[in-house]
Amino acid sequence: MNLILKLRLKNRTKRELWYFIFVLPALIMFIFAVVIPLIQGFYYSFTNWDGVSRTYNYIGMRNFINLIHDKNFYITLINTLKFAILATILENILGLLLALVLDTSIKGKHFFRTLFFLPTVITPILAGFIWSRIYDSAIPKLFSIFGINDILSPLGNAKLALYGVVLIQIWLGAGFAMIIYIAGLQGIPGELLESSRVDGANTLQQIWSIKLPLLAPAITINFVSIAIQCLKIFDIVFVATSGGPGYSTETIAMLIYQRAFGDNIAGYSTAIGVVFFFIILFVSLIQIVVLRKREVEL
Amino acid sequence: MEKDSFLNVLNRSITYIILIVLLIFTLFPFYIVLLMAFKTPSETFASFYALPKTLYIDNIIKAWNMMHFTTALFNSLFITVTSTIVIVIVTSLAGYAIARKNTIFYNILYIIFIAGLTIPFQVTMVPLYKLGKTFGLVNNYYGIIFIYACLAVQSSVFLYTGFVKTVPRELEEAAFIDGCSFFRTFWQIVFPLLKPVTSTVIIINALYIWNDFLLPLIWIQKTSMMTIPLMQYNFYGEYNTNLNLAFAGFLLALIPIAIFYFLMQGQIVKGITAGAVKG
Repeated sequence: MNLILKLRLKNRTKRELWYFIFVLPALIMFIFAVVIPLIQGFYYSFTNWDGVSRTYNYIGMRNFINLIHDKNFYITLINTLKFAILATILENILGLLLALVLDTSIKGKHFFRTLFFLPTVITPILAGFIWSRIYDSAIPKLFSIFGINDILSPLGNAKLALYGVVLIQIWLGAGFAMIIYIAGLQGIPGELLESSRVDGANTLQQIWSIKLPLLAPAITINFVSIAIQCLKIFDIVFVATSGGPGYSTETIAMLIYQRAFGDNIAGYSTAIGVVFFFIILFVSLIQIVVLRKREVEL
Repeated sequence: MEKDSFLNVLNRSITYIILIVLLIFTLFPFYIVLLMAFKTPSETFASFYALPKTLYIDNIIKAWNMMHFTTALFNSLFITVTSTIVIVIVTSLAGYAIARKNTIFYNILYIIFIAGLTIPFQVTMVPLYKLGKTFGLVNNYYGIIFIYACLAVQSSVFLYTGFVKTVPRELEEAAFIDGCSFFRTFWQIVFPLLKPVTSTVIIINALYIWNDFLLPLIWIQKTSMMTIPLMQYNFYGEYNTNLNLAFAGFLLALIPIAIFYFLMQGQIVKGITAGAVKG
């Protein structure tokens, strides 16, 4: 009897050991590349480290105080928020429109869905490059065919550049929103729609009263993930406009990169990073709370 | 069931019109890329939108060489494939352990992993770079592969844990009783059952790594190691004035993704939906 218990215990502890070994690589990697840099980031934000030298001094809240007085930071903050709000809403509208159109009885749904989703898998910087060249060549040429000359790329105009970049982002991301909405629409029982037809509802009424409310979970997912992605936007802006003209398209992510690797004030850059982190957290939480409430009610 | 009333026809027509307009908007850039890549500058100057008279492939050849495309392609492939394999191995093991061991320690780990998802890369990238330099991980393949794997832990462990919880334990128990070792049990019995989530993990990570720009930007300075996005960025200035050359370069970079997409698009859609919904 004793032997069997001993064996059982040995097996059990062996299993415990294995579970731990299984989790260890992931844990170590996570700590190395996420936890440690995060803690270091918080620490560096209180120093005047320039990113390269071995020595730096503790300067307390000075980075954060400078941040509050930094005009450029506010410009980038507003740019980023404007971009995120516009891009998120428009991407969702476009994605929803695409999903609704593909949810009808047209032929070749699969084919269209494949094509509409294509931009989403394209490398973002490639999209930035392609669109910026299209903006300054194909689009003006297109307009001149119709007799409207002197159209310039929006990216060269400080007032329009941000909208030009928003368009690129919408083109890039609408497919993602569409896919999520399609999945959501497929979850709507057909009987609901059929019986509403019998009751005399037309397509618009169906969309407004049945499909939209039942899409609430999909709306939450889309809004939150797209908003987070847009707040962090870097690639397309970096290559399409480099933040210009002036500072009109500079985003927070770009500012963080620039301050660290361009201006060599890494301490300040990490301070912006810390603030950025809390902004994203804050925006996401608000969105989740607001949108989740809608879900529950319906 | 529905009669072809005027309203229905109107409905249908509007739907098709919207569809065509959106299709044009979506495919227009690709059309331009293809159009420009195969034309000579003089053809373009003569008429921008005219179709090329012959398929002028000089642009593509020139762009290929200027971009060191063979090198870039190899780098992107090597880094993406290797990172993905490492990610699958590391995160499936961890996901399995967390899903099976429902104790406080492992649950806290799970929550910490998920919390990591909220941290934007910009916050950690500067210290991470310094850390990488200290350990000699910068500018070499194994370094960047390691970092990609580290960054993928959060989301992929989450996906694996969720899925493993839906797999009944009986099979593993049976294997243990038959004397199968813990390690073998996982790889030969559990892992094959994880195919759906493995495919999701592969697709999400492969797409992300292949298209990633920021990490290579700060991590790789050697031209011989650059991935396609980074190479594109670095050599963009060189063919700025020759529009056709520029678009030929874009076309080159687009082709691998396009091929991957059209081959795997069903899987990709499924994978991304699954990943987003779980999140």
